[in-house]
Amino acid sequence: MAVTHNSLSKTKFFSWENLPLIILLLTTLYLIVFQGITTIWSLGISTTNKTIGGNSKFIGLGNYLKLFANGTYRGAMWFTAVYAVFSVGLKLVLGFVMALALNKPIKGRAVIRALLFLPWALPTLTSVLSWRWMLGDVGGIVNHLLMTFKLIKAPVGWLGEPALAKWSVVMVNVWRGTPFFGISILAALQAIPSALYEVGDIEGANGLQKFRYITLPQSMSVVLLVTLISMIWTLGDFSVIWLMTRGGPANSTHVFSTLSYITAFQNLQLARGVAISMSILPFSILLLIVIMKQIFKK
Amino acid sequence: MKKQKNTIWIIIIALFLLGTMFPIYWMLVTSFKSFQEVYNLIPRLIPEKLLWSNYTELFTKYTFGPALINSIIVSTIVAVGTIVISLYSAYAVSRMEFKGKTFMPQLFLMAYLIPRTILFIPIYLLLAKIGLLNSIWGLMLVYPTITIPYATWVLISYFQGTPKEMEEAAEVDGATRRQVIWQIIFPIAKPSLVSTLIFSFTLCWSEYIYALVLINDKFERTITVALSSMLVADIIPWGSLSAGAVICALPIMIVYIFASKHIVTGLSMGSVKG
Repeated sequence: MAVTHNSLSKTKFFSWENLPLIILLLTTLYLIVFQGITTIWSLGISTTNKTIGGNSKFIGLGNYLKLFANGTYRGAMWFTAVYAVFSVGLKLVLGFVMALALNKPIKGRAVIRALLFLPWALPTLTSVLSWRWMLGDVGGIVNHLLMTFKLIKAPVGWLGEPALAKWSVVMVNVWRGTPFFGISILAALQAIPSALYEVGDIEGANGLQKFRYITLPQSMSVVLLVTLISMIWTLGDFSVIWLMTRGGPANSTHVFSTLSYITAFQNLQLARGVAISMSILPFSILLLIVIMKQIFKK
Repeated sequence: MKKQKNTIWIIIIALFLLGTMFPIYWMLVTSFKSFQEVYNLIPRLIPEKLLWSNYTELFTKYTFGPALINSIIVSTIVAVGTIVISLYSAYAVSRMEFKGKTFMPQLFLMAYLIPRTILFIPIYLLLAKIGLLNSIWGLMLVYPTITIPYATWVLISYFQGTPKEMEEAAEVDGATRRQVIWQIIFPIAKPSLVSTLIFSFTLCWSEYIYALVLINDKFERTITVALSSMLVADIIPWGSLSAGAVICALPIMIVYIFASKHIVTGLSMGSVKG
């Protein structure tokens, strides 16, 4: 990062005038070491048989080949995809509805808006604990309410049965993440010039037509961007699933991140754990490239 | 016709509010219930009486005190450090000339978006190498990888949307860079800096996976790990856990009451889009 001359920095590089540049340089180096080099290093580790406290030997793609033959890994791969697609899809739909609702002239809108965005601001741990407690089979309020309204006959194992546990973790992710879509899309909606809607009114468009031909195309770029960003985060999510189910019951809710944590830190197979966590790297890079293109396309 | 439409939206908003607020309400209510009442087969929507025992038990039974102090120390130091570093970095990116300048915003955004779950094992190994496992110093070294990219990115967008005439005028008058940053930019940028500071604090305060992996020691861990460790029990102490979850949410709730507008903007894509 060489300094080109401008009116203020004709002195040598290490000077008070250049302090911002020096800090930027150090920050960049720090991020490259902690994020760039560690990623490359992990790729290296994933080609060894390193364990915690043990030596390591190069085994090439051995870890990956073994993993592909492993049912738990394939299950985690499948559920990572299902979890990401369903969570992001639901967050998008609900977030869009939330944004449309908040865009209406309703009394107390500012307060309502702040309240609806709380789940996104709260620590993941807080929301997950609250949901895990509500969904519990002993003393859980959800079962109690459903039974009171005669929707179910006996308590349901929301986190104890594989199929239900899968939906439960998706639901908690959606509860937490919907406001992110809501705020972002609302901002996009508010940026749509009202003249467009006036033209729509003059031409006699109904509500649905105005949505289809004005709202949707005008907010599309933000919607796309939020979806991509949420996708990259949801693919990498750990906290929600780990705190809800630890990947259980019977490994049914494992995603790459939780499986890699167990493999590396509980089974002490470090290299294999790294290989599992690296599995989302290709998708993350792909998403990053698309996001970058979307944001910096000007 | 028009009226009917609005009713539908009001119903939708009511449903959203119910779905959003009920889990928060339930956590709050549970945190004040007695053990017997928590495990009562028929849960009561309003507790019989409000008890503080779940809160006190956190500190007497579960070593929550040290965790709380650790979280406060780590989050405060990292958030404040982040703001200073990011202010300088963003200033350099937006106001100074150097090679590779145009790539900088992309680098920070990329660093912000890359999932932690890709990095957590090598970061564990790195900290093991330099002997910073099991120490809040290790966390303070790692957390800026989360906060700096976010804060710098937001502040770059801020600088790009702010005219530089005042700064230039000051420079013509012979002000040094330090004076320009602290006497001209800082006062004007204060609202942005405050919301970035708050969000950086929140990111550290809520962080879980690094804290889980990097720290084992009971007295060095943060609140998120202290609370999650209470989940490993035959009978999960939901009363105390809810109390902990409330404490965990408290700083955010407080800030929310005073500055929800800032937070909402800080959390939105507005800050990513610039």
